[in-house]
Amino acid sequence: MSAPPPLPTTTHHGKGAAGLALLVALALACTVAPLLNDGAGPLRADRDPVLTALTDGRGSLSFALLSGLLGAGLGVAWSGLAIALGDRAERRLMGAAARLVALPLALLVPLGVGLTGGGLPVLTALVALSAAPLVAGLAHQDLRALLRRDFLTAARAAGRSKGALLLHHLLPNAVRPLLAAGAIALPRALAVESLASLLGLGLPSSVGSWGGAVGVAARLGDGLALVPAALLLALSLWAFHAVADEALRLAAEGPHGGPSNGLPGGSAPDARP
Amino acid sequence: MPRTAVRRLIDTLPATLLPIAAGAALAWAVAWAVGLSGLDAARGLLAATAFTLLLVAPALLLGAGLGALAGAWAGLPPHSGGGWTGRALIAAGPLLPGFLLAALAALAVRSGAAAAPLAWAALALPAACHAARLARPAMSAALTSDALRMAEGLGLDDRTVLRHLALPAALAPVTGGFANAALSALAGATAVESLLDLPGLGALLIDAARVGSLSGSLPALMALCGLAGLLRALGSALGGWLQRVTGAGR
Repeated sequence: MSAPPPLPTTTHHGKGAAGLALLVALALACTVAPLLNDGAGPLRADRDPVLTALTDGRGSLSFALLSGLLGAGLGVAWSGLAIALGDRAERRLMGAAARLVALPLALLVPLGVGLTGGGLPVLTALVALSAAPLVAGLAHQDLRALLRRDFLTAARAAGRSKGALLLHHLLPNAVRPLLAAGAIALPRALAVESLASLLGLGLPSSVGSWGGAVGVAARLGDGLALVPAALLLALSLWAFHAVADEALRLAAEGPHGGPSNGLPGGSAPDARP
Repeated sequence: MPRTAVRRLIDTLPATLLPIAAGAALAWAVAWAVGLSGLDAARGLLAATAFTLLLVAPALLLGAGLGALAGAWAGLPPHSGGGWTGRALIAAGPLLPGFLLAALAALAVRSGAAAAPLAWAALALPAACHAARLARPAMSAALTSDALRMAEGLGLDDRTVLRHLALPAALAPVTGGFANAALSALAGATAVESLLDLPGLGALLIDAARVGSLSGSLPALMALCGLAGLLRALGSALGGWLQRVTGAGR
């Protein structure tokens, strides 16, 4: 089978690139922030609110990355398992995902932390679980669309083995949409962790979190401490959303700039809690 | 609201009210088991449910309605004030989660501002951004659709085409996405209630979670799930009503 001729790509990727650049800049700033504060280790700097917010950002960003990747992996595995186990199991698994997405899962995170006494592993698992059904739904939609495509039917008709189909046709074409579906988990993880920390039931204060800093400042009426943390959190959420939007747009365009799955792409589902 | 939309809402009520009733029953049983007044506990949960509903529903409806119109306007050429508002809402959407606005509202309340309008604004603004984000591409797609070109070819005036074809097409994804907006609003309401010490379901849930009380938090969680279903049903009924009002498909 010959590959389709490349089509000219007309989409501009400015928003996604800006989001990625902003994330890199924030990560760098959060990494070097403690060095600017007397060169000491992890600080609870009560002096400069901007440096304090940047120091807190290390906890928020690294946790969002960790739990977001875990949630993305769980969601993709969920959808892959659903398809692999056959029609009946697929209906049940994806029905469960759809029902879970309709519930206020974000509130289960502070609840779970409060009931179990907290701890980073529990929080990570809860945040990942709150993102997984959304990723599973998207990944399942993409995988199903991929399985219906003509080149797979043609490869099956040509008598290719299941292994060859999976290795040479399905996996290379599935990587892009699955990565895009997984990207949704990152803003979701950051938002859910921030909500939990804002309520006092998220990351421990020793780790530091923008949500926690915003919550404490709001309770104390300390605007000076609230503004930098809130601004950095808002910017990070925007950047994560921009990257996820761009990933979905690229996945919808396909590798050659044309529509890859017949689905309208370009806008990520709402990943807010 | 026409009869069909009300009937649609009533049809979904048993399924949405069941978790709330179960939560109230559980609150009653837990209180009774520890020797407290079960009736007071159940009544407290129902009062908190009503409070959260009154906090979330008006903000959600107003925010989604205004945001949808602004978003639809943003999809219309040439650019106008309403269109720019829609564009601003779309751009600001990811920057403004409800819980962050709740923190800003709490800060303003600590400085002496009135709590109620700020709480509603903190919940309405994300809903408006969400609705605008869904309405604008739908309006742009509707304006280039074959149905619209055919209607224009048949000699229908711009206003009729806009009202009966483009606007319903722009509003349809907003009513479809109302469930997501409702979930975000419930999370925002939890932050608002917790930070402003308001007597809602979210505050009840978080207060119980802080002391590690499963028996205290489970009824609130069940009621919140019921409330999410109720808001989803409200969005669905509203979508049906809007379709009738705008005469979609006629």
